[in-house]
Amino acid sequence: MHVHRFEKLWIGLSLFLIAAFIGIVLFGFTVMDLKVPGIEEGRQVDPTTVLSDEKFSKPGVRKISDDHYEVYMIAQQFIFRPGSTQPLTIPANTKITFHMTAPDVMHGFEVPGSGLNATIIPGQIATFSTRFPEAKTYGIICHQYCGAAHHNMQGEIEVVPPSEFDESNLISQ
Amino acid sequence: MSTESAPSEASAPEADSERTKEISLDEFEPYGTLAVTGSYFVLLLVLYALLYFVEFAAHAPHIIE
Repeated sequence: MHVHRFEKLWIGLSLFLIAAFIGIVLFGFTVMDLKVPGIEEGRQVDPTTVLSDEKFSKPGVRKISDDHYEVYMIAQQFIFRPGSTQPLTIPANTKITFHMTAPDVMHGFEVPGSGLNATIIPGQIATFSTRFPEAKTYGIICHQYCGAAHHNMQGEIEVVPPSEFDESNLISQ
Repeated sequence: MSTESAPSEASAPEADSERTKEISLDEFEPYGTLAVTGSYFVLLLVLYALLYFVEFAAHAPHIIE
């Protein structure tokens, strides 16, 4: 079959484009060491009883070490606990590990303008770790349609300088 | 130019066929199409890089593990 040289060029560029897309993603996850949210492997929770789970019955911030805190968060119709009725307060420049689950339907967790984005599925615990580089207020929105008031499901993360972080609000282990 | 030698409406199709030139596939060179497709290709690559490296990967805070 005879192929015109312009068409050969276009076919070549198309293949290059596919290779470039794959290459950029591989570059991101190897050289740039990007991470995506995961689920806690081997740990499933029963959505009907998760509200009485040891950690999820008292959602909030727990201290693991001076440089590491963990947040247990419940996403439910139509609030984040903590986050919606009162802001989630955490220290800046500190490793924060989120553990999130839902007792009712699927929800989303997104901090707009950041790389933090996870899907919260009943029965699973979505988890990731991050560091908030600066002390400021971030928003949280639900990005999975979860019911009639989905558009009102939002929260706030208040990041404070580590020196101003009030540890009296921590959940005791 | 006399009016006699000017092509009349009746002889126009004949004159068109005289101007028609058959070329082979390789002689057809659509540089305009190549330019449009090429610009679109470059735009696609630039916007993809912008989306990935700026919108997706550069916004702190991001997931570290």
